[in-house]
Amino acid sequence: MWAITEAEGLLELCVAPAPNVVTGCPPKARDESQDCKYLWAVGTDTVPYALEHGDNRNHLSRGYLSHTNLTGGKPAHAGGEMWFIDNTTLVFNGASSRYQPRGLQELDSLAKAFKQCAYKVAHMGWDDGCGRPARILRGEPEWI
Amino acid sequence: MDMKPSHKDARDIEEIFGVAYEDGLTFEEAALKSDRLFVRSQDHLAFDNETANGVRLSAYQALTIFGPKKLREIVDYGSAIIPVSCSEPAASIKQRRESLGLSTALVAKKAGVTEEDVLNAEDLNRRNSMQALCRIAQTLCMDDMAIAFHPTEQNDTEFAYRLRDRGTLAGSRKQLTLGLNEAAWVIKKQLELSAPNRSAILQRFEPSSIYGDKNYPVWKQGYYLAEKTRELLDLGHDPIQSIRGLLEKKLGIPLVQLELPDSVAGGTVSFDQGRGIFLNINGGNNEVGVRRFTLAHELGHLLWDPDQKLRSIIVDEYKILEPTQTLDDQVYHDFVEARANAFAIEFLAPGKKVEAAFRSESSASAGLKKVMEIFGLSYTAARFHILNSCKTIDLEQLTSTGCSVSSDWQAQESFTIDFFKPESVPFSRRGRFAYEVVMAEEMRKISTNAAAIWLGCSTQEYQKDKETIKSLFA
Repeated sequence: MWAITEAEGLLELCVAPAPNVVTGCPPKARDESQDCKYLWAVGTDTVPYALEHGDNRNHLSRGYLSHTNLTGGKPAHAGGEMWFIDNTTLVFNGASSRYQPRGLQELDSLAKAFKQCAYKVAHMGWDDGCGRPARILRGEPEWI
Repeated sequence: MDMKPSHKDARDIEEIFGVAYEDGLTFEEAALKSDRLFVRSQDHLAFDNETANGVRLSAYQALTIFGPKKLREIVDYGSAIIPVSCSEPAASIKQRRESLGLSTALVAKKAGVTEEDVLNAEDLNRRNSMQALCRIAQTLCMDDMAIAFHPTEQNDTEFAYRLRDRGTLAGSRKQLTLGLNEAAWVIKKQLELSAPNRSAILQRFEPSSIYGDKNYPVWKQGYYLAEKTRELLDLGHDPIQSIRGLLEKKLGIPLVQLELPDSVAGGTVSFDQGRGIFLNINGGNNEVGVRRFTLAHELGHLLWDPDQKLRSIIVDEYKILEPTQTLDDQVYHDFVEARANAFAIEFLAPGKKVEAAFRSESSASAGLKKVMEIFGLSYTAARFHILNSCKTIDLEQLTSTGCSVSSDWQAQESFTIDFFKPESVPFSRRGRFAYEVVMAEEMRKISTNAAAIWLGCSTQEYQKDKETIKSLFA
């Protein structure tokens, strides 16, 4: 499994502020905020993240980033999508086919972990209707 | 939607539908072969899973509603985002309800949900139960399974206004509007379900914009169209044993029976996909002769009225259908209705045959009874038709006491609503619509869950009684 490199835009989430991130609003409908969307994963030692779309993505198997391109296919605790409203404020979800969080509690735990890194954090919640993490916001973010 | 797979799509077919790719297999074919179910909520679509409490869709439903790109999104992210904008489905639901002039309380009552459910559905900050959204959408004649995926179209709003305007015909205006919505929803859904197997016979009919003039009375055109219809359907001049059977089985026309305010007899609805008929089971239609006349009248609209005359929906009151004068004496205010009335009587009972049947009896009252019996006409319709066909008769001669159409006609035209199971299914969905739903479910075009939702019963009830439904229409 192809893992991207730092040169290809791979970043590691550390204590806020996040340097040089592309900022934008989290989506409230389909096809919104695609150009500022990051994928993230909580690996065994680090939290890699990278812009999903952009330069240097055409060589990837689906033409844009997947979570396994962050981890090299290795195990990870969780993964999803993420938007930086500014370099200290982020909203994330658990949209990953491979590393999907198992429930609302896990999303809450992840949010607390990100908060401990000095970020203002909200997640998009859990959609009981389809038994999956929500991928769009309904209403305003609920900050942890 | 391009359903022909490319090389990359072959991988998609396997990952989306769990079906091994074979050369030439299309997305649609793969979806119909697939055992995989999908589940949708207000905002997302995902592969079915135990924790989800949304509405289950068959692979074919998911594909035809959302397209292969959305289904690929599920493989990549675990779910796909449905709403076209942040205001959906709230904005469409509210706009539709207001266009129809209905209160949240009335919609809630008809949909079988709480008023809070309706208010929440109109709140764009809420994530609502898909089951409640389906009920509300059906009540407002919206596409329940696709809700939020498309923006509201102008055509939909105009149609809603027409439904609301037709609702002013009767005393209980809002009840009628709700009834018309229900009828329109069932007709539209049945047209969609039956589209692949629909009879080509209807294509033989070219709507006619001739409604008569000073030298050519409208009833003559109605008679001409009745004769033409019999010719195109190869019916000869024999009595029509079951007008319901002709509509539903031979012509594949959706026919919805439902409870409407007493003054309404029936009506005709037109969509892009086709046309359908609804019939009030209350009031005069309880008498089989009246019911046959109402159906024939609506058939006249459906087959022959151009779209601009039909204007999406026609609602007919009993008083419009009731003959009170001879054809030559009538002063027509509505030529569309006059033509449909003339069509109906001549279609059910060709004039020449009527005269022969009437004159074969020794007395006028016996002749009247014979005409009613042979052609399945109501007392009133038979009287005026004899009068119009046999010019030498006086109306006073055409009387009979205790005269009604025999029970044989009743059996031939009987509704399926009385002995239908499951009993929780509303009257409006107990017609051939129910059969089309079962067949679509068996062909995997829709899920069992969707079939139950469309019939308005529980999944358990549906599974228990679906063989009975099939047997009713086999």
